[in-house]
Amino acid sequence: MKSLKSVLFVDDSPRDTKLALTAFKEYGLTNRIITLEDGEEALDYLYRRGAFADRDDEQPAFILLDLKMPKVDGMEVLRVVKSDPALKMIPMVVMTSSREEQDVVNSYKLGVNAFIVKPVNFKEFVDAVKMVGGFWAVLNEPPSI
Amino acid sequence: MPIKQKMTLVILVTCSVVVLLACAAMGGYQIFQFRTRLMRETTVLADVLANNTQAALAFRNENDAKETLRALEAEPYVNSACLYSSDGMLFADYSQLQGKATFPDEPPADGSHFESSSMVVVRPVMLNKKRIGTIFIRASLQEIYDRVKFLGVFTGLVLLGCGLVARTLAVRLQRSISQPIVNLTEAVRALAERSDYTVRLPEQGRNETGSLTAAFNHLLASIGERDKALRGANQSLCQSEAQVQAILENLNDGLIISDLTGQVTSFNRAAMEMHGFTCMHECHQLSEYAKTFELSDLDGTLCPVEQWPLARILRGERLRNLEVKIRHSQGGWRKVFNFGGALIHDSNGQPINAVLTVTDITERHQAQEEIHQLNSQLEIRVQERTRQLEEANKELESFSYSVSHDLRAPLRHVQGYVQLLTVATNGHLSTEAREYLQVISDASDDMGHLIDDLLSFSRTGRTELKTERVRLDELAQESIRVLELANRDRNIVWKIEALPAVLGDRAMLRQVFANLVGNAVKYSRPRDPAVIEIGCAGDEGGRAMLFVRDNGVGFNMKYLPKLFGVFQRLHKASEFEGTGIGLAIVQRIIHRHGGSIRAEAALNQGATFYFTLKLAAPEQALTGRNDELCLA
Repeated sequence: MKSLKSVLFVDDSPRDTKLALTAFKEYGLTNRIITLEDGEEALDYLYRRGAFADRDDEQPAFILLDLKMPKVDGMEVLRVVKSDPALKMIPMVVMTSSREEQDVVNSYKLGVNAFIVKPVNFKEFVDAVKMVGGFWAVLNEPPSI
Repeated sequence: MPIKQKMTLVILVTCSVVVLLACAAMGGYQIFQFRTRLMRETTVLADVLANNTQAALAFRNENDAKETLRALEAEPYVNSACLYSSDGMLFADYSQLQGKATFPDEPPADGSHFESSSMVVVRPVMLNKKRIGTIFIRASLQEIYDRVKFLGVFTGLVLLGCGLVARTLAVRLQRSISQPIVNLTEAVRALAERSDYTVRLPEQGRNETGSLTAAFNHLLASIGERDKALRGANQSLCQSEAQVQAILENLNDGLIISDLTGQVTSFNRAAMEMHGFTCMHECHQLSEYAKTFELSDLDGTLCPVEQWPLARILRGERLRNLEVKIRHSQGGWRKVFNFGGALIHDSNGQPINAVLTVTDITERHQAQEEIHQLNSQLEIRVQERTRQLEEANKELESFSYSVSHDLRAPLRHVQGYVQLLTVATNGHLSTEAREYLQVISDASDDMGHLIDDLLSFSRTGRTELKTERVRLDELAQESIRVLELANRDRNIVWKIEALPAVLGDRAMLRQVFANLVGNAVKYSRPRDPAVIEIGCAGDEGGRAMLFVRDNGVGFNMKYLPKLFGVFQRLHKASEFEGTGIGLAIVQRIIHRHGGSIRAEAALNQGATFYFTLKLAAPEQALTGRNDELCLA
């Protein structure tokens, strides 16, 4: 039985966050979901600094990352995490409103593990979140860090 | 004097001299003989008389003596005679002319001698070896004179006769010598007067005149030939000179010819017009030009006379496209001339004269300057526009990026929260309220599609083309496969012809087929079976004309102008779903590939879309395209 790691959800839109959490709940994902609102918080969390300086739990099972965020955007977070040997093993899934080719290409260049366009249709959105959560948090076997 | 007469004269003179000399010799000899004979005869006569008068003298018989002397009458040539006695006294005398003879007072010495018209013989009269007297005879020389006269007349007659004969012979004989010469002379005269080189002399045999005639004929023939050739050459020279002159006069470019001192010898019409000359004498010596014209470089630096084009050519320079500004100091006009030229050399390499060509490039120069100015302005404007465009493009990009991100999120939220609301109210809402919620949800759905389409359309305009060889067969099959999966319940008959390979952006062309074939499937939904054809209607100018045809609902051709517009639809949303972006994207992609697209349709009779794409060169060997097809 594997220990349940947390899932890091980084999105500046509380509405999206709530929808995502609803979708996770509907799917029945039991992992703890940590929601953050921008890239800076995400990096602080991952590097255990600032508000998260005394965090002592494991690194998340995977990170769901929006691209367009205030302060440090998703692409920067991706770049930092994927260039850090200590963090690059954490699966990272970009989940964004945009289907811009440049975003897809750049994300893959930086080493993203999956790129998902948030569907406008709620049902499709829920399906997408369920699928992502189910795959990366349950099915996927990450290397032990 | 003509040679004929001269020859005749020569012959006559020669003959006459010869005859004369012969006659003179003969006459002289005869006279000499006659005198000798006369002297001998007279001496004999004197001796006879001396003998006969011995007695009379010895006896001093004067009458006997006279009688004896009178016997001389028988000798008519004796004029007179006398006897001298031994004492030297005249003893007896005789004279033919009665008493008119004169005798010397004393007997002259013995012997004989000639007097003015007579001959005197003096002989001694001897008796017993003793001189008893002297006989004196004077003989007349009249006979000699007569003979001389006769000889003279005879000679004259002989001369005359000889002369006549000689002349007749000379006239005839000299012909064989003089006639060829006369002929030659006449031929030469004819030649000189009429320049007639066709004259030929008759052949004269194998003597010197014959050779001369032959040589002359030969000379004439060769002169004639040379003359003909010379005339021909002269004629063509004249023609070509006239031609050259005509060319020079009609040239649009100016042509100036000068001698080596810089004196202009020829100015053609164009050159005169360019310089504003009206007649030739205005074209002076090079140095004179400096007073009339001012030359400068294109940048305005004044040229000294020694740097003027003609001066440079005269120094041996070869000029080509020398562009010079020229100003007439009095007329005030300014022009730009293009000069070229070089020295002309003869076959020995010696310079003969200088040729200078002039083209008036004022207009061209002005146009060039204008173009230059416009170009630099244009350059600035292009840079400005490019910058503006780049900015606009950047803005558009960030705009569509923002749209992509930010416009979709609220829609998702509307949808999401309508759903949450439905769940939260848990069936407490009235049917009406639920319908409203459904409308809100559907509307935001529609808007999501619109935004997606708009972004897709915008992207087809902005994305760079990645041109490669694309096999349209593959793209058609791909699109069919996708559409067949989505329309398994439909009865669709596919008629796919062999399609060529074209040059284009694979992803964009895939979109073209997806949209066109997608439309065909969509608008043939009421048909059973739906018939969809994809084919190639030939090629023109390296472009293939492709088509996609369906037997669907078609459209009225009067709406054709709207067909390719963004969000333009010819059918109600309730009949056929869609936003009206598909054909706009297709047209944009085809246009970006340099092709064209058009549609033919009739209401309820199907539609055909024709589009052109650039054909790819035939592939030498098959690459991994088939594998790719399998993976796709």
